[in-house]
Amino acid sequence: MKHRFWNLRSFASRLSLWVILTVAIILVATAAVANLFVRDGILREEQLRATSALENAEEHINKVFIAVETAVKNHTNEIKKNVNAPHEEMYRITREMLETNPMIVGSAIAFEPNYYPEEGRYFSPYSYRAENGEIISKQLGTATYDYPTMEWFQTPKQLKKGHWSEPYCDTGGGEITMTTYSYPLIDNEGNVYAIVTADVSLDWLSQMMDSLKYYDQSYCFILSRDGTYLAHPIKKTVLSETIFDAAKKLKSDDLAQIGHEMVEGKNDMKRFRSPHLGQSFIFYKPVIRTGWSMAIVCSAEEFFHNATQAGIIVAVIILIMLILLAIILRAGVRRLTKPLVQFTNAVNEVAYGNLDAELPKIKSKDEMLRLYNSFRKMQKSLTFQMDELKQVNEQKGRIERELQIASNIQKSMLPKIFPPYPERDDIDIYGQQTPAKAVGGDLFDFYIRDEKLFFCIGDVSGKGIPASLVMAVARSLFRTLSMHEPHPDRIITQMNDRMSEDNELNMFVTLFIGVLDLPTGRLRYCNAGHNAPLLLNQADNLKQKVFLPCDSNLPIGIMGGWKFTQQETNIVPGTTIFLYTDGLTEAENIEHELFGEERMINAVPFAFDSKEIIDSVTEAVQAFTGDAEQSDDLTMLTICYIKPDHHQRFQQELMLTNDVDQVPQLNEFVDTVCEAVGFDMATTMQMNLAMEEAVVNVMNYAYPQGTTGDIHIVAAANDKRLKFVISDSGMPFDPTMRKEVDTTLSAEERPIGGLGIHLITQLMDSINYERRESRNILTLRKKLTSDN
Amino acid sequence: MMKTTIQEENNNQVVYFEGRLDTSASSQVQMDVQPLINDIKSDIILNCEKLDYISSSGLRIFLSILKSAKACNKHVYIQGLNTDLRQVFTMTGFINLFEFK
Repeated sequence: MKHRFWNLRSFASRLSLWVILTVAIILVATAAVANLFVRDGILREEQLRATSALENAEEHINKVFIAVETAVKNHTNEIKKNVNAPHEEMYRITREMLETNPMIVGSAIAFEPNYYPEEGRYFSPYSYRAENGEIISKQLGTATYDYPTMEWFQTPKQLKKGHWSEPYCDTGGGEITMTTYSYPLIDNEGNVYAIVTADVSLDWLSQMMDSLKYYDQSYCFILSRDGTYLAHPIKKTVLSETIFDAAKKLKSDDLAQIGHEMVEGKNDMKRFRSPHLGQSFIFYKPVIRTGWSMAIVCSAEEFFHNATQAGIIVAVIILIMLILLAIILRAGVRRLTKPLVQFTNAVNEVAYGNLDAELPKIKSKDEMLRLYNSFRKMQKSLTFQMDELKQVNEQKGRIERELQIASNIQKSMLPKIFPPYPERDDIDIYGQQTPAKAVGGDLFDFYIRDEKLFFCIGDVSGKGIPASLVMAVARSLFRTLSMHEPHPDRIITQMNDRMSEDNELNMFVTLFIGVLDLPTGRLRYCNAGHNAPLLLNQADNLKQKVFLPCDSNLPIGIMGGWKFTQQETNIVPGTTIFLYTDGLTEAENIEHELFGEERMINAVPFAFDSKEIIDSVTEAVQAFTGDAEQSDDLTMLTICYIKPDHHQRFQQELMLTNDVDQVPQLNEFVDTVCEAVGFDMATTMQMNLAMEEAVVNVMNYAYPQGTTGDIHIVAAANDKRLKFVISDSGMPFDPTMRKEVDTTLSAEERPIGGLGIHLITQLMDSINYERRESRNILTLRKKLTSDN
Repeated sequence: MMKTTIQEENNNQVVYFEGRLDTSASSQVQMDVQPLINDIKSDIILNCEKLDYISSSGLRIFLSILKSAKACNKHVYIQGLNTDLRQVFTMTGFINLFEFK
């Protein structure tokens, strides 16, 4: 068997997959939550860091500004003191200011116009550092520079307190960002008479902000009160661009929003999309003293770099763990479920018929052991049941075979060669049985003995095997009893007596027995509860269908000792006797209608062919029943009694008395007759022998010793056969009733008598006895053939 | 008609049947063979060369000879039986009772 590692139809794979999925979900969820916390922590830490950095920067700015303010204030006293001193002193003070305060790059003492009339309109000593570091002093106010109108002069004058100017770009000595602190000098009357200034370079701002950046890609900037960049990594934007200009240029609403909040002096942190860094965080804080705002911008990517990296590592570890888990689980589960595969193979083998398939050995005491026990039990039970089934099947097969044999045996009991008497022209018989099951309970039989047609038709109660057994008994009784008994009532009475004995199942047989004397047409019959046969009289253009009148006798097998009555009628040649069982009249169609007597009568055609009649009726009944299942055995028997149309060729008579000495006369008579019909010597001798035996029998037995009687012999021949009719007026004597001699006995056992009748039956084609009008009539027949 | 002769030949009693042994002749033949039946000294040969016909009454005589001979432990042989009569012996089973020469 092939195994793919992840065959999802395998229990082990599915179980492993579920476990791995569960573990993966738990691990990933945990990692995700952990990552969130880590990011949150990082953010908070960064915020703290940024805030403290910004605070430091503010402090630094404050420190510088306070230092400048202090320096300026410190010098005001000296200025006040020297107001009336020579004006050169003012220059000295400005120089001193620069000398003592390195961060001050320029300082002026600008007096109110015309404060010193002798100095003209403007007096404003100003000292500044040149590029080489030398301090140069000069007069600030000129005709072109009317400083009293300047903002740095006007604002402190009006506010009467110190004032920091908005930063500006000093183009005088290189491009330097500057801011100026102006401080008013107020006289005793409270009038501002001069403004002391100190110019401070703001270049350090940029440097300071650069030192604040602690990530490669982070940057800082400072905004003035109106949002102008005071410090920015892109130098050209400083003092030339506001944050709002930049927001507009970069189409960033986030930036504009941040700009507003910064200008408003808010202290906050924001996540936004930076045009330069992408997803970023910005921390901003106002510089309260100056009204500026500082900001640090960091890239989120950089920010969470470590967290992301840690996340990747965790993911890789999780993946490796899951793969390991999968392998271990797979191996473990497979090991545990290995017996299942073996069980599957075993069950497959069992399915293919190997009930002794080997089961896996289970050492553990878990569900597998229980499964093993169940399989074991199943195997044993299956083996047992299969054996039983086999036996039952064998038995069934045997029963079926036996039933088939029984059916064949039963068929062999019924006459099956038709026409049965092809050599006879006075009788045409056809019979047919259609059992409802393999074997049936109907019977019919016929045979000719002594020119008498013995026939019967019967129906055993019930169907199937029990009925068929009773049928076999009835048929053999009929054969045995009729062999020595020409009277149907006596045959039936004896059959009834025998079959009533020990008839515990109360099975009975309706039976009709007829004995038709073929030479005379006399029909003796006895009906034991069977359907009355139908007579079709079609002789001499007369067409009649009548039921044979029947006495109501019991069926046989019901009551032993019942005396059955015999009836008698004469059948004229040209009459057909149609016998049937109730399977015909009670044949049902799908609507459960019965075929009935009327349909039967109509279905039986006038015909002289017995088979044609039965075929017509069969066709009619099949057309009636259609597809309905045959419910009862159906048997029909047709006997056509035909008038032979052979003309008599020859007839001769002889009259004898009961004297054996007259045998030579008989011998002479027979010789003459045989010669006339053309028999050869051997046949002539046989005829002699048969006739002698028959006549001597009459002489010996019909007339008592000492009485004299006549014996009338008629020999007649037609185209077909020679017939001897021996009649006498003696006492009733039926030689055909003599017991058959046993020719196999030894000499000691052989009785002396009984040979005569045996020889007659051997030598003649038929022997027929009738007692009519107080005469014994014995008819012997011999066929005329080309051989004799 | 029917002639029966009994001779002693080679220590055997030989009975010659001649003619038709029918019922009318049988009583005479019965009388003719009665001495033989009464005194069986040796095996008996029934010579049928000239026997034309036999009926059951004749067969009965043959059977009575046989029964007597058997009682004396002697054999009865039939000689020269023609085909037609042999058929009668066959029909009656007598063919099994007698020995044929």
